[in-house]
Amino acid sequence: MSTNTNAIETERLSKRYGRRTALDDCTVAIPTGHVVGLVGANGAGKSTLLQLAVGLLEPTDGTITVLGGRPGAGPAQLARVGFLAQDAPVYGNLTVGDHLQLGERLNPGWDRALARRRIERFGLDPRQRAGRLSGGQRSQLALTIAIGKRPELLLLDEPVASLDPLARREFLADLMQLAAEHQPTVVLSSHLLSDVERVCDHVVVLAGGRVRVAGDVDDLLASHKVLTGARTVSTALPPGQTAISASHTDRQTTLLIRTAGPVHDPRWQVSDVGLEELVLAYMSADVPARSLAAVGP
Amino acid sequence: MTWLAWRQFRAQAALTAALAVGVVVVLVMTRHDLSTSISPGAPTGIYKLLRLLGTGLIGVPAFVGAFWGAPLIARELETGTHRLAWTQSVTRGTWLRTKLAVVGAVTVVLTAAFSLVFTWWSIPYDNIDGRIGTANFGQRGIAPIGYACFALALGALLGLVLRRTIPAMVATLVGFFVVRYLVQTLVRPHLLPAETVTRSLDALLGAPGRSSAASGGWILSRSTVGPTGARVNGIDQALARACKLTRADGPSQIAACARRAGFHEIVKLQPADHFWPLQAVETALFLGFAAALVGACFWWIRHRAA
Repeated sequence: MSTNTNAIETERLSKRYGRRTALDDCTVAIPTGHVVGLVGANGAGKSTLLQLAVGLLEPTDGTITVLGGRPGAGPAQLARVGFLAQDAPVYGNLTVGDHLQLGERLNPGWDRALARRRIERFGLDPRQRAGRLSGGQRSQLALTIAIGKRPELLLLDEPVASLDPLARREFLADLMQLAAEHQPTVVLSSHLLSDVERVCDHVVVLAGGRVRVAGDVDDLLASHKVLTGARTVSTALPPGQTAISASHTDRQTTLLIRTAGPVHDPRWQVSDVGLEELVLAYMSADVPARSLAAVGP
Repeated sequence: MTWLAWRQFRAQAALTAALAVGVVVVLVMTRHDLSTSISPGAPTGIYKLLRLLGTGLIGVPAFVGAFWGAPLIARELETGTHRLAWTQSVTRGTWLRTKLAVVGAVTVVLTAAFSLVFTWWSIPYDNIDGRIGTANFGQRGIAPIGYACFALALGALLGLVLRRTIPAMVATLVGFFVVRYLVQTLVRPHLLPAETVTRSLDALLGAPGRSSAASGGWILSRSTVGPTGARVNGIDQALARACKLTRADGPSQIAACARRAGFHEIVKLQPADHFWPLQAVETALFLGFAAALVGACFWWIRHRAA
């Protein structure tokens, strides 16, 4: 695959369900070769974006291109994208073994050995009905089907939301290992920042159906600073610096800013920002989305 | 994809096939006695019971529509498994085509077996009662195959649009019987040109008469006309005036009077030998409905479903 093809590229993408707008005028490019966190509150449009990317939904407006093709355009395009839907749907009255058959018969690139290995590793009995699996086992089965087709792009919609903490930790550890071994681009949505922080090296923050910020985690952390100063200091910033959020106590003011270079103003005490703090600032920021979306390295 | 469609459907298919085989075996085993020793005009005991299978045969397409058609897509949408199925390396068009083909093939085979064996079994009765009339037509021949395909497609589409199994099942049952009834009453009489015959009033008046040209046919309308060819309302009074007879004089005398005075009956009907042509046209009509509904399914699944 050519290196200049983005995994997901949207251009003024909108999706409305009747009167409700789920995605509004989103323009974003998600590069290949990363584990990407799609972050936002419930109802921010994460699930809608992923379903548009796999072709389950059609855009109301705008375009979306996935690995250079139109989502769901045909068997070949479908084969390139693996998808784990929210709540990991499986056929309750089919067995685990049946699901492996399903994956094998419906996907030309099926990796039987990989699928078998995973089923054994997680102690799933091929004869057991999928309807009787625990939430964690069901997620592992569904992920096995998604990864068994050996996709170039793996989309996971809230893969850990329904899992208990231990299962969640195992699931993410396994996912990291998969990403390292098979190198697909992974996009996973989550409203749990700690999970994203653990596994993702690229984030896209959605709020209110819009992309608030997107970029490599390292770049984002390098280009954002927390400024702390006395309450009396003016919050006016020099060119090249933009305040994302501001909070005040009686005596002190804290700003989260995006900056192209180092901050030299002696009135501010400058410190680094954590990913969680940064993402939360963007999620709650009441700023025009488009001016923020284009944060580049 | 065929494997998955069959894997999801095989338990129901096997159960229904077992039932169908049972019915066919019973019919084949009882047919010999029926045609030799029983007076078919007045069925008794087991034969009376077996004739009710015809009513069951009317229900088979409704069953197919509600229990196979309606859940076909609705259950997937309800449980979210369509998100699993539609994101494998198979387009949802292929997915739908395969599912419909597998369930459709089983539907056709089972319905055809049941209906054709029952049609053969019923010949001794039908030689007397006729089979083109509304009571029997839908329980015989190939029409049930058309009904079943229509019901299956209707159920699939309603399930796809309503996205919920139970409402889709109910809507399918209602829709199927409404369409079936409307076709039977409003459309079927006109599917082939009806014939008009003139016959004596013997049968109408209850006199033992020779069988007429209308025997075994499906009578669509009948009217009594007098010597002048004008329609007669109140045949009793008209005959009383013509022959000075009343009902008390007995049917044979009255009938003789009616013949003498030139009263007769004009009957519009589909004759008995229209049975198979009418079956073919009605089956084609319902297969046409089914094709249109399947087309709508493909349109909807590509453009509206998610």
